[in-house]
Amino acid sequence: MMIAAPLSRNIKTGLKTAGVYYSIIIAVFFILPFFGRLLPFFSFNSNGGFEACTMVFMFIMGLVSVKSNLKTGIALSRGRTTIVLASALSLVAMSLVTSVADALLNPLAHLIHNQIDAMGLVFELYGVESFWVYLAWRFLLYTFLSCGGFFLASLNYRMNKPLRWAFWIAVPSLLFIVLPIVAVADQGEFAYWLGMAFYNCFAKSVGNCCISFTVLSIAAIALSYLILRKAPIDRE
Amino acid sequence: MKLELKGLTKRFKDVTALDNVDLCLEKPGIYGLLGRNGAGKTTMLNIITARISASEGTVTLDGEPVFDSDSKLGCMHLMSEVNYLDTDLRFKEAVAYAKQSYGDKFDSDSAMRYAHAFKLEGSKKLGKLSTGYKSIYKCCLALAMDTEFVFFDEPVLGLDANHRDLFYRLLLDSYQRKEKVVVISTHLIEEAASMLEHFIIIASGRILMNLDSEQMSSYATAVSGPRDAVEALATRHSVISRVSLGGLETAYIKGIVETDDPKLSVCAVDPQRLFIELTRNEEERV
Repeated sequence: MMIAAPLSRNIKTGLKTAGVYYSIIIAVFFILPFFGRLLPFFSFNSNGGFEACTMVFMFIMGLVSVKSNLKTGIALSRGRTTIVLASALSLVAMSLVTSVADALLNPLAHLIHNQIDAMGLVFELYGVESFWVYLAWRFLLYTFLSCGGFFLASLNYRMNKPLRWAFWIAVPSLLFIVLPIVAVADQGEFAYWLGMAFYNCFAKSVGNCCISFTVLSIAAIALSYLILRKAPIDRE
Repeated sequence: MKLELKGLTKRFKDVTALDNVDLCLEKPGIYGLLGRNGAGKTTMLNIITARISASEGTVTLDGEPVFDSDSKLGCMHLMSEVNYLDTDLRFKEAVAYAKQSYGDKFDSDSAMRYAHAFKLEGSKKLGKLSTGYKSIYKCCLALAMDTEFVFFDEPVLGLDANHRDLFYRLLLDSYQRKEKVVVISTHLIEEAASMLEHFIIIASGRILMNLDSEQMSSYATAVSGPRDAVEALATRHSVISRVSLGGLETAYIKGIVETDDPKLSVCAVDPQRLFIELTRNEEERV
């Protein structure tokens, strides 16, 4: 397997995108608030951390990786296994970069905005104050989101138009019509089971949550590989 | 290295784009892949380079399947009509990527030299280029490839006459730098014919003929003259096609034909004419 070239290419592209993203984040969270203080008529208030922003950013990074990595990889004569593996590893690398960047920026943001907690979401959810746990949890969360995005984009890439419509109608229908009906029909038993499963996987402890993120990330990449291993790459 | 296509078939819903194609490419040389629109040229090249999978059949390189093998795919490069590279990729970045991907099988200096010859700026992004320069961008990368197999799918699309001429000269330069199997799929047969050593003609998803240039030049003879005289001669030979104009007729006859009849003129058929006569539809015989 000749993975070095596509991997370094993906990471380089990812770092460029992350550079743009953090420029915006720094402008919004660190520079604009100063204007707010200096100029009374220019007020800027933020009452949230930028973890949520990075979560969305990583999810989108996963979404946009599929087509571009497949096309570039195949144009430069790489097999699909290598392309998918290089994509997955670059998403893991970018999750590490963004989690470290967030872990360093969050305490700084806390100095400016009291509303932002120095330990971020992990403290709010689990009451854990260890920096390393905070870093690991965030890294796995970002990995999970980017791999999830990659899986959804892979699915979207392979589906034809009618199937795509059916999928995007079926998912909300399941969540907002079928599940409530089931919840009423079985007097909340299934909903309770689902809630408990979610609680045990993600909310019971930070350890459980980290394991769940890891398992789901691996599953997302494995499924993406199965979806893409014979995918045609003949579209512009 | 031996690239073999065995029983290659590709179906798109109810259309059979390739139908049981067998082909072997081994000897270095410049091959012309000729076919009408929709004949299956691009499909064949896309399957060889694993961009799409075959419905049936195999593509092997030295006996091993090519699909999903980095080492086998790394021995070939396809310059296609479609842009696969990111549109915001500058040419010099693409050169760096190609070097990283192909290693010794890519000559960065030659790529920059070719770009300079075409007046393609290294800092230009692919997406910002005109149609012609997009082709040039991809051509320069492909020409700098030293892989065992280099495929060009419509390389001169959108190029003006001067750039096309330059491309053909640089192709020879590239081939002289390293001998390899170069396959050019093109509709501009007349322009490319002089450099082609082999002709592969594909029609309706099947290989119609696979000849070297010598066999090609003796494949058919054009006999022109009064209709009666041509008909008299044609009855003794296998005729590919006939074209009539008033009382005159030209018959394209298989093989080398000689005649003593002073009313008839006999000449060899150039590759483009032969291609046209071989692939002409019934509806087009007017």
